[in-house]
Amino acid sequence: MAQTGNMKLISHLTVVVFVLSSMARADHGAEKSLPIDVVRKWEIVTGDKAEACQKYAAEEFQRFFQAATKVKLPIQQSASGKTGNIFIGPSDGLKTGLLGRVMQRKYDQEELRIVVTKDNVAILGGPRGTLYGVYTFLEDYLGVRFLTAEVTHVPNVVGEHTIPLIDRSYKPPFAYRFYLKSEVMKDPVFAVRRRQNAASQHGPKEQRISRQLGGEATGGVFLHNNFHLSASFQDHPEYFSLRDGKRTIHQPCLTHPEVRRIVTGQILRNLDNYQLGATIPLAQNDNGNPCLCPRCSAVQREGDAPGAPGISGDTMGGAPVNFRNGPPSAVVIDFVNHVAEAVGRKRPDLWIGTEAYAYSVVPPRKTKARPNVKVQVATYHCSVVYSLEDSRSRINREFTRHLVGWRNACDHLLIWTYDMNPRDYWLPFPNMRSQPANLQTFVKNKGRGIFMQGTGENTEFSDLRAYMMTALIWDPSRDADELINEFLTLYYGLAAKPIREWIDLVHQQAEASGSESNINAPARSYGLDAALGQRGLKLFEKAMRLAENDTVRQRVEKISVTALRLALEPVWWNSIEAPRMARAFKTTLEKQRVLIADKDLPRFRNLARQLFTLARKHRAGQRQSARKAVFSYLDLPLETRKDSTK
Amino acid sequence: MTSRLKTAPGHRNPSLPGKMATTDGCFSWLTLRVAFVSSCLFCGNAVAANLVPDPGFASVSELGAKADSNGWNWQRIEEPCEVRVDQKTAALTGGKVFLHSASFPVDASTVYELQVDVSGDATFSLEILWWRADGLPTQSHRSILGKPNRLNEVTRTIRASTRSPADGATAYIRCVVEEGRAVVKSPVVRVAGGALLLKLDAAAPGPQPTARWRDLTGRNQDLKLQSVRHSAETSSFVFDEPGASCIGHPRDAAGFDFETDQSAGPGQGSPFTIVLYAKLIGRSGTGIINKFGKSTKGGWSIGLEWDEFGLDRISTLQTSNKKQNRTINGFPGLAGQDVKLGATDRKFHMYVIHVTGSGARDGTVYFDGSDKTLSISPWPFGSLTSGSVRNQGPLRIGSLNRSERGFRGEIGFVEIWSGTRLRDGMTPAAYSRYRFNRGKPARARSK
Repeated sequence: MAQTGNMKLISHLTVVVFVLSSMARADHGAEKSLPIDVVRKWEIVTGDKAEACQKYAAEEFQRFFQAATKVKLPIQQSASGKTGNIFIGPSDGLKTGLLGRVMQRKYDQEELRIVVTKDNVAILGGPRGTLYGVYTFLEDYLGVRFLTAEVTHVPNVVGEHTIPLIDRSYKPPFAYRFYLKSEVMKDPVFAVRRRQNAASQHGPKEQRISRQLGGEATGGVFLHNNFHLSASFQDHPEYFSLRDGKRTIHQPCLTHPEVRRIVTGQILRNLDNYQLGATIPLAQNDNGNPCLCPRCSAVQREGDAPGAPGISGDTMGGAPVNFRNGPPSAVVIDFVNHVAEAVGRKRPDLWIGTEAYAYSVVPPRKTKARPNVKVQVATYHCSVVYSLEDSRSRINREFTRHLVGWRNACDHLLIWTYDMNPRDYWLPFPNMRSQPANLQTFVKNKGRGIFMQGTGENTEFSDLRAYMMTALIWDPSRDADELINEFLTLYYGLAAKPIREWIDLVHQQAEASGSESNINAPARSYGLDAALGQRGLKLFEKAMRLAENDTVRQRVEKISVTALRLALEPVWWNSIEAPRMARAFKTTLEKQRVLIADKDLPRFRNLARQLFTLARKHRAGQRQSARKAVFSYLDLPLETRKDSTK
Repeated sequence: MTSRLKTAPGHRNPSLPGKMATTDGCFSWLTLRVAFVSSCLFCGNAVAANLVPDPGFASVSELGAKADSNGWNWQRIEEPCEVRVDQKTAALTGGKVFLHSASFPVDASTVYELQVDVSGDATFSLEILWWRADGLPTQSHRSILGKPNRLNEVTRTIRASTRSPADGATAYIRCVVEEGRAVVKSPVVRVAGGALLLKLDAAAPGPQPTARWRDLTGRNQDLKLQSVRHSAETSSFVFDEPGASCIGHPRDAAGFDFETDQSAGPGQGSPFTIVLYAKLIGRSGTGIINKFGKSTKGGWSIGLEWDEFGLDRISTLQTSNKKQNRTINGFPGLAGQDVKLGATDRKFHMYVIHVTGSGARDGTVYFDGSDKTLSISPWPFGSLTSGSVRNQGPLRIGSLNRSERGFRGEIGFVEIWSGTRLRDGMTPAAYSRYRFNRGKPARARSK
């Protein structure tokens, strides 16, 4: 085990055995592998024209190779000999050397190639691909694991270790990869080690991925923006949606010729402000009220006569009136195509992006998006528990049909998917079985980018999710079970087993419930209840006993919030969800609340105190309103922290 | 933007020229200008052309995927909506319905007059929407020509005037009908002509050229002379002493208060044009023509300057408080900029100086009959004045006050026009060419 810089490294014999046994699978004999002892005497070569990112890749290689082997390899700008070189990125030395063949073709920005021979190693690719190649090498051949921003697992690579002779390439299916998760985003160095290539456009500067780290992919996620129409409703009500016979401000009327002229004109006027390959987002507002004027309805019919049968099947949350003349997305794509055609004439490198979300999630029946149009499909309405292609979910089957429709209508899909429950950040979120399969479904259906929306820092299984989801976004073919086990083992040590058991229990019970709920639902909608929470608490008691040291105990304690929260479910329901339901369904609170026996109240009070104390301790979100509601319900005093200035 | 609206009861047919659209349905700037000048100069018709395409409602339809570039389009805002056409009238029924004309070209910062005959029982209002040359909305996009009014069955002629924005290139009018029926007829949009507020010509100085200078418009009392002498030989007044000036009568002062949008509201500022025929004979300061109140009050000033570095320029200034926050422009440069106008040859030159009234750093100056403006150098510092420019001071020609060394030279004639256009609706550029008359500007004759 080695320690590098400010990274805390963990040491565990079983872990080393686990990792080394998995990474040395290709070691079938000396003639098919490169002994690590040989590599200890080699040099890292970057070339004298190396880009900042390539130099950084070399430094990362040097850093972690040294941590694993205790040998610091020199970084040279040119090769001193024909052999004994670890080429990082393209260079003249690589081109003219024994591995020159690898530079006979161009590499995509994200693509990586690793070549290991007895004489040399080459890790190269596109500018970012080279850096990813280094990380892939470190992971697959030295057993390094980038667990969290603070913890990197680096095994002791000893003398008999070998590296298989290989020539492998990899191009991630998602060219845009953005997991919106504080654990990942807060440290761009870690984000890049997890192969993320995007950051929030609105986030702090220090969270942006610099050029040295490979820079950010263009053309990512976008938000609702009124299709870039800047005209006011006051001046031009005719530019906005006709609903129930009246113009309303909800959405622009996308077939109005002046709306098209203005939006197109504004974009063309600002074309110089878009960097190469950028996406210009034209996205609907976040409501379900598209324009239903005669002109829009005609476009919606996609050439069919009025009164022809509309679309069949469910419409995933859209009001039926929106679909009377066919899918509203036909109007959206027709509009976006109009803009895309004008933009494409002047800047063929640019993309026009739009959303398939809410009323527009149903794809057009005939209209095809232009080649420079990308569509961001959102999975908001999908069932969380089952994967998209799981026959047990009617909603997901319907969504998958829409996804296939979009695949046929557009060559470039960007997926906005969710990895959280926005109403309850501590509740176990039962999607660890479905989400990996979903990512594969996205790949099959021309998903070229992923935006995965996660929760705030330190909530639920934040650390595990950050590791697991970024690995799957990079390579959706990875085995999710293996990833979970790997992380639990390396991060929680002996406590991993009961934690794994807890995760399995949650998912088994959710799957057995037949839940069709989307991401925004209370515990009962996923089939989760207090009894399960109690079982979870017992598992966490066990995990705490098994934790080898205080560091691990803290980590276990942090995720025990998930079981505590579920064990408190009846109180949570009565104090937080029942009032919501009473308001939504216009009934009394009493009708919504569940019965809690007086004898159970002391136990719940104890659980509530523990839950909010731990949440505060581990900075798992400041749920003041939840605390107030729960404590009030349980007649617990709402003591506040003393003002330190007094 | 807001505008001035007048309604007059009783039906009246405007005798205006018909539509001016090219065969492909698009207005051509050239066509418009040729027709416009023709009507103004050669036919002697003082009324400018109607810019509204299809004023007889020959083509009216609900807006489809493309706007009718010749005719009218109606749009449903609140159903039920209906528009019918009958004998050169359009009958609009709503709900709420918009009827838009086809777009037509307009000049920037120009005052337009609008009128339409309308009757019915609906609430009716008239608007004009302005567009830039690139097809995008102008900064101030919509001029509401008065608040919505409930109609009755007696046909009324609604009249209004408004000024196009500085970035305006095209426009269309919008009839807004709510809760009832309105019959619309004979819509007209035309350029508003200018009004000649003052005309002084040293060739016809009046009966007391040693003491007074007669205003040939008859609008104003004679200007009082102070240290100014008349030269019959050169048909000019000579200004070569400190404080030399001609001073207007205080009773006429209000007629020369030209407010800016900054205080009066967008589109409400008062554009004006000064035509000056003058000769520089030595160093000259600001304020050849000006109107200021007391030292802390606002006002405006036009300068014909010759500075200590030998540079010459026309300067324009509008301020509400004589402080830094004011509009100053130099044509072709400001002090410190090494740009010459070319008027220091001790010969007479003619200047047409147009102040837009926007309060922004804009305006145009035409020199010796050119229809191309001198380049403008706006003062880059400070914010623009936001208070009123209006003041109690008289109109002064020659210097800013009794002691200041202002203009040094001779003045042949001065005209002050209100509005964005001048005689017969000519633009300042066109008037520059016309008035200069190839170096022989027409002079008045004494009776």
